Amino acid sequence: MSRAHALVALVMSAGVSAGAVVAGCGGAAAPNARVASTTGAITAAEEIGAKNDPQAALHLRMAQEQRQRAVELMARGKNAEASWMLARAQADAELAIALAREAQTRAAAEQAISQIEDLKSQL
Amino acid sequence: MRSIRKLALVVPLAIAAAACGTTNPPGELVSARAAYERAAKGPAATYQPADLHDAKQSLARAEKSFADDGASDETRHLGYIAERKALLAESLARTTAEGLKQAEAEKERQQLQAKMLEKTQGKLQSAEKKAATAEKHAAKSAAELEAERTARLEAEKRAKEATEALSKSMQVKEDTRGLVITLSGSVLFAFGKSELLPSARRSLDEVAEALKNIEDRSFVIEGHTDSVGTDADNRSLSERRALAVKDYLLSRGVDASRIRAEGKGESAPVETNATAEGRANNRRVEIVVLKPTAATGTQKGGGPPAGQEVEPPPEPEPPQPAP
Repeated sequence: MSRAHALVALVMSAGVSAGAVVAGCGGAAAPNARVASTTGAITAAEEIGAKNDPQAALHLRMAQEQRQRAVELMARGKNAEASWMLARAQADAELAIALAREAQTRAAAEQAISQIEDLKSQL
Repeated sequence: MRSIRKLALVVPLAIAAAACGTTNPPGELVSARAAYERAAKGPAATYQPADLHDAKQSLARAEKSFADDGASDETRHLGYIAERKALLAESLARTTAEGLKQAEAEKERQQLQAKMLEKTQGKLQSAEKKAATAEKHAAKSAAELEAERTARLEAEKRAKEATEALSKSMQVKEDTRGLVITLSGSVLFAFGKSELLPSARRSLDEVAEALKNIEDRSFVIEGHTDSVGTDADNRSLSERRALAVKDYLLSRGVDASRIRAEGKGESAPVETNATAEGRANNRRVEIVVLKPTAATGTQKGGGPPAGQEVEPPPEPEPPQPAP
């Protein structure tokens, strides 16, 4: 085999595993819809008060950082990786919403139980 | 050439090894497996089966990626997302459980509030009953007071009518002691005696009726004499005469607890004893209707206290007529 063919073969054999990356790197469309849905989830988490609960606030921050990273990746044309970042960001935002709701429901339940104790002491 | 050929054989193998050969799952996948296992054993299985199934499928995709591509970026991303899905299912299940607790607490709160309301209403009804009873008593007291007032006015009216009737046959006047009914000694007694004349009964019957109509007052029967004879004899005579009048009034129904007798002798003349007329006027019996303050007080003139009667002295010798 000539040296050039070997190099092509080398490239070709390496391209099987890299291909996906290459394809991922260069071939995916910009995930604009996913950017919109992820942004929506993050906004919902902010509005529900995720910042007021430590666990919810943590995942909200992770969602925000990953979305920002996705935007930067998209600016560099790395749409596939940006899509993954956005998927992770959305998962974190949805978890932040759930954790915020959980904290609020727990507080409401504790308040209701406390009111019952007060009433019992009056009877 | 030979080195390039070797390289062409080695490199793909190395890459293939790098792609598929590692047995160590990435940290994201390990975390996802643990999160799902915990979620599946917890309340998510009961309360959030759909979300738990979603987490399971997400984990399955991560596992497949790991099986196909090993610890690739895709496997790590899928593992990361699968862990979040499992945590999401757990959080949603806890929220549902807390929501059920809150609903139970709300139900219990309403029951307790109903009990409190019932208790308060009971207390209110009891207080209302007490207030109604007190009001009834107050109304009764007011009615009783009014009845008492009416009775008192009636009694005063009867007393006034009685004394007005008396004044037609005997002297009635008001002084510092109270209302004084004066009966002449000659109308009541023979000279020097203390037995009532028959003619005295009619006057004393009128007096008795008048006294019986006077409520809430005490009476004092005072016997008086002129100055003829010794002071001791006159006092003794006046005491016996006062007692005689008192006994008669008691026999006509005057309340014994309200009447007493006193002998004043010659100590309280109303006129001069120098004339016959004056002496006649001094010989008298006075029935005093005491004023309310005087009615509870002690007897005037140094006599025994109210309620203690004078022992009738022995019948003295009649006074010697003046030479």
